[in-house]
Amino acid sequence: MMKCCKFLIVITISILFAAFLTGCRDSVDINDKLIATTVAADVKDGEIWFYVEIANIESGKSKDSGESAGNKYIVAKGHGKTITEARDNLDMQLNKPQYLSGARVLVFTERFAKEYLIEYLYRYRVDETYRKKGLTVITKEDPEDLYKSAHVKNASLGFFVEDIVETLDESGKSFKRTTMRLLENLSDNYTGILMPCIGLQDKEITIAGYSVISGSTVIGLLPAKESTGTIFLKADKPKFHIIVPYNDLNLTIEVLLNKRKITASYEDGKINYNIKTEFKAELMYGDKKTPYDFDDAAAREVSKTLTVMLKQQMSDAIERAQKEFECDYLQFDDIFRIKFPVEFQEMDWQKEFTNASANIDVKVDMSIKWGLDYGTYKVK
Amino acid sequence: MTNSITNRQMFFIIFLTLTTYTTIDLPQIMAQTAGRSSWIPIMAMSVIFGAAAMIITKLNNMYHGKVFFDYSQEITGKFFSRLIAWYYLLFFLIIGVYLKLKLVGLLKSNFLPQTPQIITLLMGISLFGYVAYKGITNIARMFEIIGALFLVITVGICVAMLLEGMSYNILPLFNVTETKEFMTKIKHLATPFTGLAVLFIIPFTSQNIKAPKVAFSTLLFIGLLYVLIVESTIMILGINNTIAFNDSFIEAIKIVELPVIERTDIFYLTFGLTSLFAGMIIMFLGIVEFACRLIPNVKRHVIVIAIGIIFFILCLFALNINNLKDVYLSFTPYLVLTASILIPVPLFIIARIKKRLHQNSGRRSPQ
Repeated sequence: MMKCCKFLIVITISILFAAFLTGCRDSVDINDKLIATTVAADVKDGEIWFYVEIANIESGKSKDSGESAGNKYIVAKGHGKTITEARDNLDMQLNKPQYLSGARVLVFTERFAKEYLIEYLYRYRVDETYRKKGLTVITKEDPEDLYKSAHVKNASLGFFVEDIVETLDESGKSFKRTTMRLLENLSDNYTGILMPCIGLQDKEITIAGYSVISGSTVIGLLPAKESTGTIFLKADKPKFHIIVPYNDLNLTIEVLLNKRKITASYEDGKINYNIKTEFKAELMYGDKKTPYDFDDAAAREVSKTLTVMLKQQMSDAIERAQKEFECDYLQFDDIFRIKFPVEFQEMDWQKEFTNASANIDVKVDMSIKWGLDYGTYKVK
Repeated sequence: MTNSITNRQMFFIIFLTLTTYTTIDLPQIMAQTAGRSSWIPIMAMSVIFGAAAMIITKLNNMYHGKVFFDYSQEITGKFFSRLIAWYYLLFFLIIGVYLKLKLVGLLKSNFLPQTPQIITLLMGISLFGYVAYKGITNIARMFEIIGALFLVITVGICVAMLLEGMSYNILPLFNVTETKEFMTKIKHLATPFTGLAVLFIIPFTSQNIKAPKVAFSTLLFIGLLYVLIVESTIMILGINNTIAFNDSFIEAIKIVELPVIERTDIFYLTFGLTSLFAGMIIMFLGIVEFACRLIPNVKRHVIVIAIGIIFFILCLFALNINNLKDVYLSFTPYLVLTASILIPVPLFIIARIKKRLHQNSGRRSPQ
């Protein structure tokens, strides 16, 4: 009897262990997957086109002949009438399953974004294989030209664009928004957002500006050169170099936003924003020979000029959002909603935003770049 | 082998039993129910269930060395005692089956998409059965290690989420329009406190005198942790994304940027899974302990095997229910309220009255 029991236990345990081996089905070598680093989408001749950049992990290996196995990145293309059709078409050309957890950036052409922005981003949200920290950018260029530009340098378009956006964000010249944050804005009752727009400048990839998204479509472009005021109102720690005229000099001043406080008030059905900003400004250099005689009085005067310039830039940014684009991509809606949640629910924000007024208060703390003396002295 | 636990072990048992499964979908439930004002009902419910935990531990303290099944016979008589024990057994069985399927679903979607669910079911049940066979003392020791690790990792990730998230996503912290729905939807908030009844399978000793205070503080702590989880998830994902995802906490973790670690979700789930197993083990133990008391003539290992088989069959049936989550959430709050409040409170009152009567008669008898 005991022998029989022991035999049964051994058999049961053996079967259990054998059953556990089915887990091996999930073991897939990363070499057996196509690691996607960028996904680009376009609309051409009424059809959706997908361009997926795949890391060519074979490229490093040399063949028997000793030759290189090709480029570091290859691009697979697929097209169809719908997003699903285009994806199926793409899959038919791939010899291994796609691995989307490595995708750094989604690149949408403006044509594609105007029609399919919401649909594709909802697809992105539901697809759990996608890397959720990824960025989304818009472009007016042909995706194939963008890929060519990156691949000439043996770089991935996705990594390259991600690095540009992150570098600009860290240096205070732009802001970074993950795709999930865009999705949150797109799911809200009111949607007004800016998405980085990449382009080509002398065949080199660059940030051309910011595409304005209102509702669920692209309505325009805010060029990068004209976006300083907007960045001062949106980015966390914006930092720019501004040229300020002083006497016959043009002084280059590094301006860093130290503090920004935006409060909303609502009286007699009128929305007003009080924007208080504090900047730290440092004189870096001028366009003429020293000495500049930059004493306290000069600092006060330059500070005054700079204050007016910064105030004007921010004021223009607000006016442009209200009048030209009629879109609250500055996200003033959140500031108002936090203070007046009940009133906000009953509002048509699209209408209310364009009529809102703003008081801008700018304080500048002027100094000379540490380690330099631009004061009064004689040249020896 | 003494079947007793320390207060610290009790803290981790309550903590792991309540939090492990709740953390994943709590932000979604709360965002749907109370929006940005979620912290208010969470803290209110943690105070209510904290009071319930105090009552259960006080009841346990009145009968040192005995578990609920034993002392409930002294309070209500044999018939009602068996009836209540059967209720708890079925309660743990229902919760256990649901949690097991949730665990299997999580494994399938995140780690083992190709492996048949029946195998992960079988593996889990064999493991939980073996650990439950070992009894509460060994489990409590294991929970101390797992619980501490799970707590540190969860809080650490939540803090990273708070630092990277957007504060405007959680503001305003109080919105009058959202509070109107509190009362109508408050029953959904009972589910995150499922499992408090596991305290009934733990025999208390003299080292658990301070257990009521510890239990209340534990529930308050759990409430605060829930608030941290919900707020950090909303800060990272935003309120609309939080509502859109069933497992919003995991989705939020995927976006967190941590140094070196690229797949933060896998990092969390590696530790999270250990705690998920812990939560499941305690449910299995609850079923085994009540079954052992109800059928005292059968050996413990036979009961464990029989429960394993029943559990497996029930899981197979439940796998075929399409809207399992909705079905479960529709009746569980009532089961939880009955198991955590409606049964313990009257029992506690009766026990107190009986004890007082006994003391009074004890004082009169010498005269």
